[in-house]
Amino acid sequence: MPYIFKRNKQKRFEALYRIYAKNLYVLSLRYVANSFDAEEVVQRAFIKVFEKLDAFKEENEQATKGWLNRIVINESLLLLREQKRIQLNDDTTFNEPFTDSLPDTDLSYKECLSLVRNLPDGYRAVFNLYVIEGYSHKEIAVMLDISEASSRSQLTRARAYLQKQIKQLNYETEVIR
Amino acid sequence: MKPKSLDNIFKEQLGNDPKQVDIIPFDQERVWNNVQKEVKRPSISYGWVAAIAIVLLLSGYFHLQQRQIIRNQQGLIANQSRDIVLLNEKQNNILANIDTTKQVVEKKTLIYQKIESAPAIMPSYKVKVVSMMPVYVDKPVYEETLMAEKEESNIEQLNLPVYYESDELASASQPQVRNKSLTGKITKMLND
Repeated sequence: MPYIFKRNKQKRFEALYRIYAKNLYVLSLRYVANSFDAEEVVQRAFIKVFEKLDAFKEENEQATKGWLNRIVINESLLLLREQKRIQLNDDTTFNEPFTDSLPDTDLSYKECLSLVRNLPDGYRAVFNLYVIEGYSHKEIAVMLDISEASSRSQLTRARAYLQKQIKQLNYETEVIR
Repeated sequence: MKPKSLDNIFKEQLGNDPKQVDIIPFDQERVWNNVQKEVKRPSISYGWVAAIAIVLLLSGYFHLQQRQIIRNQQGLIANQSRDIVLLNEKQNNILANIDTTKQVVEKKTLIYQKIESAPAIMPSYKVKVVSMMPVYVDKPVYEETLMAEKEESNIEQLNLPVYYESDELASASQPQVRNKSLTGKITKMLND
């Protein structure tokens, strides 16, 4: 590759990193177990970005952000698979009733992040993909190589788990007050 | 007031562009340096491509070499087949010659056997038969003769003129001899 194009590519790459690295790091924090893994994910993701930068056309910010988010999510799931942290049983027997409403709760960003990160790996992945990223169960099933029913089951479990945690948090807060 | 759903709470807080990301510590420069190290390192894929290219080139080279060797060997095999045919011909010739030689040897052996079995024939030289009468001598005479011969051999030879009676006969018939005998007479007279 001629030097001028290489230099141009390097500049584009650095610009992308400076703008999006932090947000992508936070995104990966929601998926992986700890901050070291999140840094590893960001590093891997940007290496991939550098490799595919020639093919990518920056049409608008939204598209760029979506492309980068997708890469980070994929790398996060890949790392979880490598670490064998995702153990999604094809379990569809979860029938516990779930009420999607919570008592008047005011959770901060940090609390939300902490609650999500405390979820078991499988629940966390499905909850993030479905609730926050907005993927359908069909897409999640393909991404995690599970059935759609299993994805639904994991989501229900994740919600129940979070609700329980939030209730406990509210109780603790009230006790402190 | 309708309570917020769980999904909405999390989506609002953690969804697109979270506002409070700054409270999360992130060593951006360290990660950037790591990324730069990885990016500037020669790509593994290039290494693979290079390795595959080298393998292909080498395999192609060896394939050509092998084809060349096979072609050479085929040529050698053809030559050898030709040589084998020639050798067979030569062998047949030699075998034919051997047969002939054998026949000759057999013939010679036969002739030799015939010769051996035939009675020996002496070469016929010309022979001259000399018939001499044997002379018998008595032993004392023989001894005396030997003694005389021995004594004669011991006698010193005198350098004296010898006159033989036969000279007279010779001089009578030949003038030279006559002269000789005349000279002898004169010498004798002078000595006396």
